[in-house]
Amino acid sequence: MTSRGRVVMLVDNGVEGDSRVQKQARSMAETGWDVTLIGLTAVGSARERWMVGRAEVRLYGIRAPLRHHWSTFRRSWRRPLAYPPGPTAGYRLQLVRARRADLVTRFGELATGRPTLIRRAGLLRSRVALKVLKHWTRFRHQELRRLEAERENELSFSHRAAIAWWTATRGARSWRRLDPALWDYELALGPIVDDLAPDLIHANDYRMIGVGARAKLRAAAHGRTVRLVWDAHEDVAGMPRRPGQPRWLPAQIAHEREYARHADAVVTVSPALADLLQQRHGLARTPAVVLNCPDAPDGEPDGKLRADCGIGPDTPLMAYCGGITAVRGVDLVVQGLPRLPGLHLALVSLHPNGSRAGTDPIASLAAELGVADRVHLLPYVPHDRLVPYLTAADCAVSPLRHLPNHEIALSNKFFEYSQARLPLVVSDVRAMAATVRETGQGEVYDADDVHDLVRAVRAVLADPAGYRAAYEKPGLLDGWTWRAQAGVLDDVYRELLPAPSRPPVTD
Amino acid sequence: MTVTMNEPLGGVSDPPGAPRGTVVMLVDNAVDGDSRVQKAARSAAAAGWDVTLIGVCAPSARKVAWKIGDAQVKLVPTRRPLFTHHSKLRWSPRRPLAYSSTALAANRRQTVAARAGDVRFRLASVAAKRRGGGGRVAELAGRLRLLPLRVLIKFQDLWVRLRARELRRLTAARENPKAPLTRASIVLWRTLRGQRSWRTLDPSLWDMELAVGPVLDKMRPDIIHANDYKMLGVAARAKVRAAARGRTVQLVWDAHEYVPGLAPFPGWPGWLPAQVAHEREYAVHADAAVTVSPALAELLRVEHGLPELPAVVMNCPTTPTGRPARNLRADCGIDATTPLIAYGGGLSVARNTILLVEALTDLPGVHLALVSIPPNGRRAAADEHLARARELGVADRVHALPYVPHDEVVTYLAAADVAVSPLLHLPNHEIALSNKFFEYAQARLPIVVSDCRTMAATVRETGQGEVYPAGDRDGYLRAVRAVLADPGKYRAAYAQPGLLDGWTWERQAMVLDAVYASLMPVAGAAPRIVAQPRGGSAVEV
Repeated sequence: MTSRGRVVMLVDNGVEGDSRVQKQARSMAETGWDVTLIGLTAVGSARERWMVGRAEVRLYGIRAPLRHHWSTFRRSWRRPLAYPPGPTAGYRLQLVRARRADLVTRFGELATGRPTLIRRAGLLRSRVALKVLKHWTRFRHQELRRLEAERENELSFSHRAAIAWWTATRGARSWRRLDPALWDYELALGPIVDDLAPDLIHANDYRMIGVGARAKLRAAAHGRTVRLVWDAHEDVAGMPRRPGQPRWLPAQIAHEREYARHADAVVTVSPALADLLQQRHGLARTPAVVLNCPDAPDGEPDGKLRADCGIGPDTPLMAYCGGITAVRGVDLVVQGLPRLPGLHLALVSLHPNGSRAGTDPIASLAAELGVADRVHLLPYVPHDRLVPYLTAADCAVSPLRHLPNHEIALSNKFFEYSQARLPLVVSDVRAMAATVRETGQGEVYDADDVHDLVRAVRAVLADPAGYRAAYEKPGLLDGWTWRAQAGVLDDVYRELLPAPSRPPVTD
Repeated sequence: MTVTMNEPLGGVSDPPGAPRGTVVMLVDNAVDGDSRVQKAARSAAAAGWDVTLIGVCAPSARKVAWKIGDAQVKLVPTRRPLFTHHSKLRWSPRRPLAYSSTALAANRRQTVAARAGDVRFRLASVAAKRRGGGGRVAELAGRLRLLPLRVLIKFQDLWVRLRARELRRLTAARENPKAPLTRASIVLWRTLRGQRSWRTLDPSLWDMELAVGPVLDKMRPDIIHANDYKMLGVAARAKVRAAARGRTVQLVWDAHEYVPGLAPFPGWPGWLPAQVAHEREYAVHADAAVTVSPALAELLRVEHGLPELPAVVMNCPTTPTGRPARNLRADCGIDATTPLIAYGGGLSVARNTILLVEALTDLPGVHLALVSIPPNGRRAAADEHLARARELGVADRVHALPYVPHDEVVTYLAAADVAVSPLLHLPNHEIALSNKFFEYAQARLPIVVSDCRTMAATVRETGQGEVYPAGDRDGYLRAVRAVLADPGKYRAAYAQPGLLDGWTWERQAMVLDAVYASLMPVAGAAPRIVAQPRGGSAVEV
C-alpha cells in the first residue's frame, strides 16, 4: 500500500496505559497513513519500540533537569541559617545521633574502667557541646523545613507576585518562567520529530501542542509544510491545581494559549469540550469530536460477571468499571445500597498491579454499612472482553462528582456501558447527563444526593426494557464505535492532506 | 589456635531445648549471598546455641526475617544518610564558582539550552514569515530585535558551562587520592585523631551503629559474633554499653579480610584509612578472634598485637548431600575422555580468569568449563570471556555454565580433570583459602593454582596440584600439562588420612563451637576470668 502521508503522533506518556492513542495509531495506520507514535519513558530504560497494528511505537527516555525550579536547589536569604536543600540536613541530623552513640560508649568505658577526674571532665564537656550542637542542627533543619513550606505555599507573596508579574509582562509566553519543565519535552523530542520529517503531526494533550507547533514552524522556516492536528483530551483550565506548585496551572494554560493558534485542525473528546475550546481560543471552526468509544464488541455475552459475584440470573445487579478515587463518587453508590435491598454492586476495579489504594476504603465503607455481602470487588477485564462481560448486569452507574473536567467528559466507560446495552444511572455532570436525557438510555441524578441516586436506580430497575429500548434507535450504537470515530479522524487528516495523486473517491 | 579440635564440646551434656547461650551474629550484608555466615548460623544453632543472625537491608526490602535451620535471621532496615562524604555537600574555596550540586548544574545547562532553542524557534518564525510572502525589511527587523537576546544567551551559556566545569573539576579533585589537598586532609586527620580519625574520614560507619545498635541491646546476647570489619565497631560498642549496665557480653571477632590490603573505594580516598583506623580502635574489645586462614591469623596477630593467634575457621563446604540434577560433562557436551578444566565462581580481572580462555590456544583438545553465571542471570562477564574465545577460535571449547546449588557443587565439579585458581597478587589474595579451593579439594580434583601465598603453600605441602607464577601464561601451561599428564599422582594426595575430613564445614564448625564454649561460664563453677585484658579491663563472670 502506498502511504498517504507520514504522520507523527506525540503523547506525553508511555503509550501502554493510553487506549485512545493506541486506537488512533492503529486505525490511522490501517487506513494507509504511515504512522509513528512517539511516547516517553524514564531515562535509562532501554529505548523501546514495538508495533500497534501497522503503526510503529517509539518510546524515548526523557531527562527532566527542569522538573524542579532552580530555586529549590539553592539557599535563600529569607532563611539564611537553613541547611542547603538536598542531603545535607539528613547528614547533619544523623551525625548528631552518631555523636550521641559515641558519647554513650565513652561513658560506658568510663563506668567499667577507672574514671579519672580529667576524663570525666572531658566527657562532660563533650556532652554539653553535643547538646548545643543538637539544638543548633535541629534549628537549622527546621529553618529548611520552614523555607520549603514557604516555597510550597500557594498563597505566599512570592508565588502570587511571580505569577502576576510574568502573566502581566509576558502573557501567553509566561510559562517559560512559571514552568520551564515544559522545555524538557521540547529538548527531548524536538530533534526526533524534525528527523522524521512528517507531513502531519498529531499532538495529544496540552504538553505536546508546544512540541508539535515548534516543529511545524521550524519546518516552515526550511520551506517544508507540516500540518498540525491538536487533540485536546482535557480542559486545561479545569484541571486540579498541583499541590505545592501554584505556578504550574497558570503555566499550562499560558502554554496552550501560545500554541493553540498554530494548529491546523483541532480534535477533541466531547462536544462540550469542543465548544469550550472554540470559545477560549477563538477557533474559526468547532473542533471535530472523536469520542473515546470502544471497538465494536465481538464475542458472545458471557455469564462470567454473575459467576464472579456468586449470584444467579434473577438477582438485580448494578455494574461499575474503572478505577476508584474520591472524585469518582463510588462511595455515594455504596451509601445508597442500604436503601436498595437485594441489589448487588459489581465494581470491576482491581488494578492488575495489585494496588488497593482506592478499593480498600470502599470495602471498609461497605462493611460499616452492612452491605459488604452485596459489594463485589472484581479484577480488571481485558478491554476487548469488557463489553460482553458487563452485559450480564441489569444496569450500570457512572457516579462522577462535579469537576470541570467531569462536566465535559464522555468517558470510555460510558460508551462501554452503552455497547453492553445497559440502562444507565449517571450523575448530573453536564455532557453525560445531556446525552442520557437526549437518548433516554437511563436516569440522571444529583451528583451529591444519595436520595436522588436511590430514586434513579429504582426507576431504572423498575423498567429496564424501557431504557434498553433507547439503544434500538438506528445509528446510535453504530456511531458509538471506534470505527466510526476513526472515520472522523481520517476525514480531518484527509482535509489537511488531500491526496492529489490518488483518483478521487466516487460515492 | 586458641582451641584444639578434640576439646570436648561444651553443650554435649545439656538437655535438648535448653540453649547453651544466646549468640547474635552480625553481618554487614543481606545474608543471602554470604555462605559463610549462613553455614555458621546453621551449625551453631544445631549445636544448641540460641542463634540470631542480624544483617542489614535497604529500608524498602520486603524479606526481613526467616530461618536457616534453627537459626533466626533478621534484617535491620538501614538508612545511610552519612554515606555521602560531607565535603561533597559543601561549597569549597578550591573551586569557588562550582555549582553546589550536579542537579543544579543540569538544571542550569538545560535552561540555557531551552532559551537557545526558543530563540531558534523565534528566528524560524521570522524566516517562515518571509517565506510566506513577508517583506525583506520585516525579516531584518525581526532578526535585529532578537540579536541582544542571542548575545545574552551566548554569554549565559559560557558562564553556566564554566560553573558546571568547575563542579566537575572539584569533584574530580575530591575523588583523586593524589590531589594534594585531598591527601593533606587525610594525613591531617590521621595525625590529629589517630585511630579515631574514621569518625571524620568515613562517618558512614555510624549508619550501621544507629540502625543495628538498639536492636542488639534489646536482644541481650551472651556472645556477639561480629563478621568482618564494619560490624566490629557495632559489636564492641554494644559490649561496652552492656558492661556499663553490669552485663557481660563476649565479643567474637570474625575477620574475613585483611583490611589494610583491601582495594581502595573508588572516588573516596579517605575510605580505606578510615576502615583501618576503625578496626584498630575496636579490635582491642574482642574477647576472641576468629579468621579464615592461618596466614590471615598471623597477620592479624601482628597488626593488632593480639596475645594469641586467632582461631582459624576455614570456608570449607558442607559435606555434599545433594545429588546434582545436572552433569558437568553433559552440560559441556563432551564425553568422559575429553580433558576438562573446571573453574567455579565469579569472573573478574583481579582473578585473571581471561587467562584460562587465552591459554586454550596452546592446549589442543582441552575444554574449559566456567561455572560462573550467577542466579540473577548477569552474564556480562561470561559473555566477555566467550567473545574473547571466539576471537581466538576456541569458542567451541569454552563453556559458560550457571551456578549449581552450594550443596551440589562438589559432586558436580568432580567430573572435571583439573580445577584452577588463577588469582592475581593482591594482599587479600595472598592470605586467601577460598571457598572454591576447598570445593575443588572435596571433589578430589588436581589443582592448578597461582602462587598467591597461602594457597600455593598449601598445594605444595599436600601435593594436590601444581603452582605457577600468577599471570604467567607459560607457567600456567606447564602446570596444566603436568597435571593432565599424571592426574593420579595429584589425586593420591587426597588419600592422606584426615586431610579431607578436616576440610569440611562440620569440622570447622567445631572450632567455632569450641571458641564459643570457651567464652561461656561453666555452670556451677566458681567465677573465672575468661577475657584477657587487652586494653580494657578484665571481666569477671
